[in-house]
Amino acid sequence: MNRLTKWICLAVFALTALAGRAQEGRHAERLFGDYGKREGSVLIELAKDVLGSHTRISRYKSLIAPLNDVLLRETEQAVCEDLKDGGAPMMESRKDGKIEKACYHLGKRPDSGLHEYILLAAKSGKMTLIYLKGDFPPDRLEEEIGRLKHLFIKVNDKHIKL
Amino acid sequence: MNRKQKQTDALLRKYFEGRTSSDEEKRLRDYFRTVQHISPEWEAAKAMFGYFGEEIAVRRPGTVRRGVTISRTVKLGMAVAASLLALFVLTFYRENRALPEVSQAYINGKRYTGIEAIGSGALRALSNLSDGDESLYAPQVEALDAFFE
Repeated sequence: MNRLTKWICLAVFALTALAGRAQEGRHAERLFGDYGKREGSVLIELAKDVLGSHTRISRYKSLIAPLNDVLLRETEQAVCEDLKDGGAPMMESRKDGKIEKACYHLGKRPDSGLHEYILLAAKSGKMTLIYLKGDFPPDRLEEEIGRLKHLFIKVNDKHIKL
Repeated sequence: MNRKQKQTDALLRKYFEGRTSSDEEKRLRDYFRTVQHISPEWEAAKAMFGYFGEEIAVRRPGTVRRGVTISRTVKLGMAVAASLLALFVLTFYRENRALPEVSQAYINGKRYTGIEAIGSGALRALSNLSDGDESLYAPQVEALDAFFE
């Protein structure tokens, strides 16, 4: 193998490793797999068939699970890890040191340029975790969530504006 | 004509008769590469062996000469293009593999693909995050829930 071939192979391996790292899921995403299919949980994954061209959201996952200290601690740890890659909290409210409601911008994916968000609510005995990915900046998050709601809320085939 | 020139003359005759070994051809190339003064009848032979010598110097030892020569730059360009294509395919494949084929809901561990179940679950999650009055859309969630209960 000559020197040129070795360099090309090295470049390919390096690029592949970089792409692999870029494609790795967020820590918070693991929670959906761990808790989503348990008794008492509701896990939703939206694909193109629902999202389509109605919103700029390209990925949506939500989890509603019975709230307990273990789940909340795991969630906080996962979010904390995810924020290390350049993310920042957009809003966070706590009561007695525990998160009640929070919204985090995890930053932009280096591979796709899409923004990622984690929304979290822990109240009334249940925890709600939402992972969103899409082509919209943080100041458009509320608008995109509004569009998503309108996809589902219908009475006699008419949308209800929230 | 000295002894060296006689040997070269004999080798040249042998070469043009196609009977020289590779070692003898190397001796001819070496001779024509280093010789300073040469008789006019050998000028063509010197030019020919000089050309062969340059070609061999460019090629790596042990490689077989092909019919088509591809420059190093073209080879590099092809390798980079192939690498980028492979990377694009890999990225595209992984990105799409992570996405579900259709939207789905898991409620108490049971999978649903109906839009009512999915809509209800998504709406319930979104309303939990909302600062607004939950009672405003709670009836809508309940209505959607009724489809899959």
